[in-house]
Amino acid sequence: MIEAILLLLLILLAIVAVETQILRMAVVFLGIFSLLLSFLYLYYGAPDVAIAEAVMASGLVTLLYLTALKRYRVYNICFTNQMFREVDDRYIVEGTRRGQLLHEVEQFCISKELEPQVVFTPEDLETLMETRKYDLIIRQEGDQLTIYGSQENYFVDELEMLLILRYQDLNTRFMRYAEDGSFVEES
Amino acid sequence: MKQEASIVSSITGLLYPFIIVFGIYVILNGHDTPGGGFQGGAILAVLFIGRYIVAHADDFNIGRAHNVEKALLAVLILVPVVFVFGSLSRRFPQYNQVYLVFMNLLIGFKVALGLTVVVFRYAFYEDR
Repeated sequence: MIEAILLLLLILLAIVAVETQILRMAVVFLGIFSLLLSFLYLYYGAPDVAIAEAVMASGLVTLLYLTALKRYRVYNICFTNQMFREVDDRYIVEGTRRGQLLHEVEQFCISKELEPQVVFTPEDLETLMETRKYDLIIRQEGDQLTIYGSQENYFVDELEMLLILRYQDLNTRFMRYAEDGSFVEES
Repeated sequence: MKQEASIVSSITGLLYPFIIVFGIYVILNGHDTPGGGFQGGAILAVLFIGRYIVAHADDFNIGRAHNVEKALLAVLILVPVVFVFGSLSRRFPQYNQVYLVFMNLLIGFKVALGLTVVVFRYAFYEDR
């Protein structure tokens, strides 16, 4: 009876951990999952394995994931426009359509527990790509908005979905770059 | 978010002595009850890492910990070589238990320091 309940709870927790939207909650669910698994090991008569599982999976791995999440806190966004005269307060003030887009990106970062940090600059793209200080580069050329994000970052995919759904009228385009700096063609 | 959560940090502060005692208990009784050097060492490592997570402590000297860990590895290899291959275990069989406890202690401290160094290096130096 106890065994059946534990096994069912394990499956349930695994599904919940995969389906959760917030990463930190998924880590906590994984910790509970490992704790229940160690109970199960104890029930099966392997106390040694149970201690190792409880300490490693539920303690150390949880802490390691939390450390990793902590490192990815600040999200650097760079807004660049070659025509530096066009960069003015309209982008910072809410209300205009473009300013709203930037605001939306910031809100999205906050909902993902990241701290958005926006930099406005008239520098060109090559210099920005060289320094690699920014996680997301939004570039404006006249009417065309191009958003550059790293190929490895899962976060950019979700942002792309959101922006394409809401800002179809803004002539927005997404570009990915690989680790070596070359661009990946986007469908 | 620089300020620390006061509930979490005070509860963890209350738990530190219990974690230390539990870890050393698991190490010392490893030879005849469940547990042993590795598990106890991992419990002790959780103490250091939890301190970093909860209290943002970064005063841990990683280089020194790494050196101590290397020295422990040398001792860890040396002791069995002398004791087992030097046939001391056959000449003094009453010291077998002492030998096991001592080895568990060495393994425990080595694992604790090693895991702590791994996580701290990742947290401070590893580039994204």
